[in-house]
Amino acid sequence: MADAPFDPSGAVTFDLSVGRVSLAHASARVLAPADGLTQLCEAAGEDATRTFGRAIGTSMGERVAQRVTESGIESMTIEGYLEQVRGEFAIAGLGVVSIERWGSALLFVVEHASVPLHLVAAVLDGALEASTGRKTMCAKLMESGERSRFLVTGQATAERVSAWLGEGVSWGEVIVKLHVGGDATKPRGEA
Amino acid sequence: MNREQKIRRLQGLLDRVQTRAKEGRPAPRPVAAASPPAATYDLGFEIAPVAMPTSEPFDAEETRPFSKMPVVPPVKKPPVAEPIKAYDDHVEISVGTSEVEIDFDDVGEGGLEILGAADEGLFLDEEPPSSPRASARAMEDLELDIDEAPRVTPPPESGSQQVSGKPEVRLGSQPSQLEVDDTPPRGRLTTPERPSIEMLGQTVELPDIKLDEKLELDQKPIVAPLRDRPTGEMEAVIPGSMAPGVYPPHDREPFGGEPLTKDWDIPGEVVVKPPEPKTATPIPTGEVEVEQPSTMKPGALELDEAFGPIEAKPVEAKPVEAEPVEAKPVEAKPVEAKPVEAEPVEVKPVEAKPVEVEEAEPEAITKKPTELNLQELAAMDHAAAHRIETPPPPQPIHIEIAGKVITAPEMSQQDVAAFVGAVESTTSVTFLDVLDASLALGKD
Repeated sequence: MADAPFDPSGAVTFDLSVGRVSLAHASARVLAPADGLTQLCEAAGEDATRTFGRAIGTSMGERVAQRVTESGIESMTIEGYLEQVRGEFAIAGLGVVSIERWGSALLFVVEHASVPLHLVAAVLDGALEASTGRKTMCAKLMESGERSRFLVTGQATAERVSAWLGEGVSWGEVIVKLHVGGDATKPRGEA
Repeated sequence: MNREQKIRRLQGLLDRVQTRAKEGRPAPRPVAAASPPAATYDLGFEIAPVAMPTSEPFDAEETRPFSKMPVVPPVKKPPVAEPIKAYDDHVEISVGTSEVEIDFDDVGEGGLEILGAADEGLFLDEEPPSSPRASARAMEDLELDIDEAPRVTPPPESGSQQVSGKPEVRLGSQPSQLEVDDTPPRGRLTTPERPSIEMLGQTVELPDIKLDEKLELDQKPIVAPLRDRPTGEMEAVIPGSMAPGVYPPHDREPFGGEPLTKDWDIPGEVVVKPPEPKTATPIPTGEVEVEQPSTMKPGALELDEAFGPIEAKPVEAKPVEAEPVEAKPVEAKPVEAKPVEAEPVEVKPVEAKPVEVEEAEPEAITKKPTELNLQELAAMDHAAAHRIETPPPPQPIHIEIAGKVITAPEMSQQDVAAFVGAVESTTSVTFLDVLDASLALGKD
């Protein structure tokens, strides 16, 4: 079983006569500065930014799903799916995407992101939902330099994770707590 | 100065003017041309000078149709308005462009002809003295003219030429006393004589050159004098070893008393020790008579007793202690070789570091020496060749799956690949599985 490779040829089209930039199977795009987009997201607020990011990710997920129609998204391996999402993120200029597995937890690692991280998380949510049909919520676990980790989980779990992180719990311990069902906060030996 | 002289002078001046006109330069004004018009009267007051047409270059600003256009005129000194001093008793006519007009076209090759000058009463002698400033100006003009005398290099084809220097100018107190000496100076520069036109095209016959003749120099070449080379032997005096200044060396004695051995002390017959042969010679086992090599000078060699015939003693074969080699007897004179009895190595266990000594080691040492047989070697070679030709026997393949090692001795590579693929297909995880597991994480 071979996954469909990502083919970036013809992904972006610059129609200079009309003055339009468009992606394949998508509507027109606008090349805007990342700094300006960041300021716009900050001014719009988190909800509006998340909605905006989900729209971007949805179009990405649709392109991925359309690309893997022959092999089927159900049989795609982790590497195959990552190749598709990684290519979409690279074309959009959102950074480099990789996947980590910590036990049962699935983490997306995004490097060199030039936009706000909550926008990146929203893009991931939209891409996953549009490509797999699962409703997901990516919670930012950590941010170190140009690398950020996002936990792919449900909405309820994402809220708990955000609460733990707000309490000062490290992201590794958050993952442990998720695996033990929330009892990991107790000292060892008491469980 | 009579009339003819004046005419001659005037003609000389006109010749100069003619020469300069041919050169395309503006003709200099005559000596008295700079002076204002001489027709003056003593009216008791000064009259401003009347602008009179002169031969000077016309004013471009007045004649230009567009005089208002900005034109940068050449910088020149404005004419100084000189008051006219009037003389009451006579009217003088000076030689100037206004009075005497000389048409250069009329100047023919025969010279300048002045017509009617005498009839019109041209008296240059009696011209009145003009103002001192005018005379000085005339002198300046004259000097300027002299400085600008042409210096023309005669063309080479014009033959012998004479180059004259500046004409000598004698200035008197009055302008009338100016005398220009047009005679060429004494020093004449003549160009070197060139071959005449008759010599062109002629064949010059040179004297025959004989190749067999030797060229001889008129003078002997100057060669640095050679130093006299010593014909005798060179000697090197070692400073400090001999008394200085003593020659020849055999007449002197060193300070130590004993004569030093020098090159001149070497006798005719020299005893030369032959070099030892470097070739490796086999070690003789018995008595060997060593002959002296014939590298010495015949006749001049006297061997001492120390160089007599050498008796080589047989080498006593020493038993080899470590290597159990079977000594083969020498064919000529077998050496009494005692069979080496390999002594077993005593291995003493160290108490501090207990070392387990295998029992095979002393056996390997104490075993009998192996004898290599040619037949066995040939058999080994044949076996090695046969081993290369035959494919290796199938070896068992170890497959590690999930930490367990499965040995499949009879499986081929293809079978193993198919097996591994099947195992991987059953154990691979899709992205949806991982995603679902991650989504289920943390749910109560």
